[in-house]
Amino acid sequence: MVVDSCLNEEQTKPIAIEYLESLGVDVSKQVRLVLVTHWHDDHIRGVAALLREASAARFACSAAVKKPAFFSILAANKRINIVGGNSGVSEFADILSVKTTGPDHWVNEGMLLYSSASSYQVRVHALSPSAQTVTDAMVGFARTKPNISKEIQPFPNVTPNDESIVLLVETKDIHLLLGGDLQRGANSQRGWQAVVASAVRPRLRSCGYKVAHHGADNGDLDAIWTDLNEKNPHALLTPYAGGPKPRPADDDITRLRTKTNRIYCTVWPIKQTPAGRVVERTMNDVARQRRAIPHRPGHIRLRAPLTGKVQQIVVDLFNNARRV
Amino acid sequence: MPPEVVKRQTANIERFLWAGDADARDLSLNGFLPAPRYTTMGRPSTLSSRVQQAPSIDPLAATAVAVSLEVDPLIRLTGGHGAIRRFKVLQQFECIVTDVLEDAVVAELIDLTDSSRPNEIAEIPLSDIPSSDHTLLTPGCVFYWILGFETSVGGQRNRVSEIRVRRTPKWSENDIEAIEAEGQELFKQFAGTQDKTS
Repeated sequence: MVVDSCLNEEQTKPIAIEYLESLGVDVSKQVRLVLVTHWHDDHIRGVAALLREASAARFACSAAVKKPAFFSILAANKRINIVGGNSGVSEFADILSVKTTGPDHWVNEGMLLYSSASSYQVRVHALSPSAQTVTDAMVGFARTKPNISKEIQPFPNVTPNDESIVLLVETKDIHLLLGGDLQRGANSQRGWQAVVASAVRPRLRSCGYKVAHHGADNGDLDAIWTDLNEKNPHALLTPYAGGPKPRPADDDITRLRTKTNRIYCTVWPIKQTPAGRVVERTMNDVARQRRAIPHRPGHIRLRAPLTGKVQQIVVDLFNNARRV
Repeated sequence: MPPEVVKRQTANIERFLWAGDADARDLSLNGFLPAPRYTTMGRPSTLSSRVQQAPSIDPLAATAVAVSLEVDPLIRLTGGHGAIRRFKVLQQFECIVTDVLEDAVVAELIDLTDSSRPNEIAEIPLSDIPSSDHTLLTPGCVFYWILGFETSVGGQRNRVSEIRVRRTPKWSENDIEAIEAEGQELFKQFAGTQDKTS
């Protein structure tokens, strides 16, 4: 199973393909499920290329995008050719050129996405988006889609991220919680509040948690740590350099340290290559703050036997990844 | 001093049509010179939404000091009847706004001059952006940031930073109707089926 996607350092290939091929995995046969938690560009880049290789894989995405307004955004995006590169919307359109009958699964809370046929117990449960979120998603897309008063511009990412899928990977003794970009939620019917309150959620605690929303405080809730995770879980952080405040910020790390002392981060801030003395002076005169977006993705790997115990988990860090 | 013919590259010049920018429609040196095509991070990147071939050059009639120009992208070379600016471009960025704050914008900067440098995120005060462009600043909009040296008539060199928001046309009624219709078709095609459970 591959959950979300980004590109390798050269920006030429999905990093999941690179990694799986290095393990000797036959991507065309052995990848059974490709899932995008949501369509923001930092989570979806390269999924179309991945699906072309993983020809046996099913494709799953949030049921919240199963709305005519979202497909209007896809239609409008085809008419925009202003900025180079690929937005999340463009990538989703590319996915549909590969999956010509559409997604195989429109995911919402309570769905069982995978159950192993072998003697090893492995199940993948979807804990979100909630039913209320799926119903309300129309509002966000209606705000984003084109209308006569708007200029023709690339589409920004729709926030908040309530539509993000959260997964619980269940094995015999080791469970993993993959938090996507889900945010806290305005009430008990949305976001993490809905996940915690859900009556259909398996009552299992995870020992590994992919921290939601890049460690930001709006993606955190005390109940995630008390109800959904064991004590002191392995917390995996994937930073985000965009936006007014890079995540995780220092106060995010301080907060997360009160929850667990096992925090790992895939990418560390890098120093930008100077552009020349005069240019640097001029840019620093103008810009209040600047930070480089790292090219080189780091890699955190948790490994344990399928029937193993929590104590058998081995954590490996590659490239730029570090323990916080 | 008699005017001199300004030399300009004619081959592969791309032109911008900046909707609403009357100066830019005058595609002589009173407007913006076009930008070269470039590649960023291995992806093709275009600066123009509509591209035309350059017409032949007319000699300048103004009494301005003429210079031999290289292609200086996106710089207004004259405000009207004054001297032509002598501008040396050192760095250019294509910038995509990610957030609009009360007094600044946050944008991702794509280096057009050196594609090997990682993209940056920068917070730029609104005071450094022409006030006529402020209403155009929304998440997703594109602006260009050009840095270089400007040399005055008297020979004084000054560091210059110029920011120009890209103007794009608005969606038309026909566009919206076509998009809605296509959106409905795509929805039926891709979302009309039931979930395929394994």
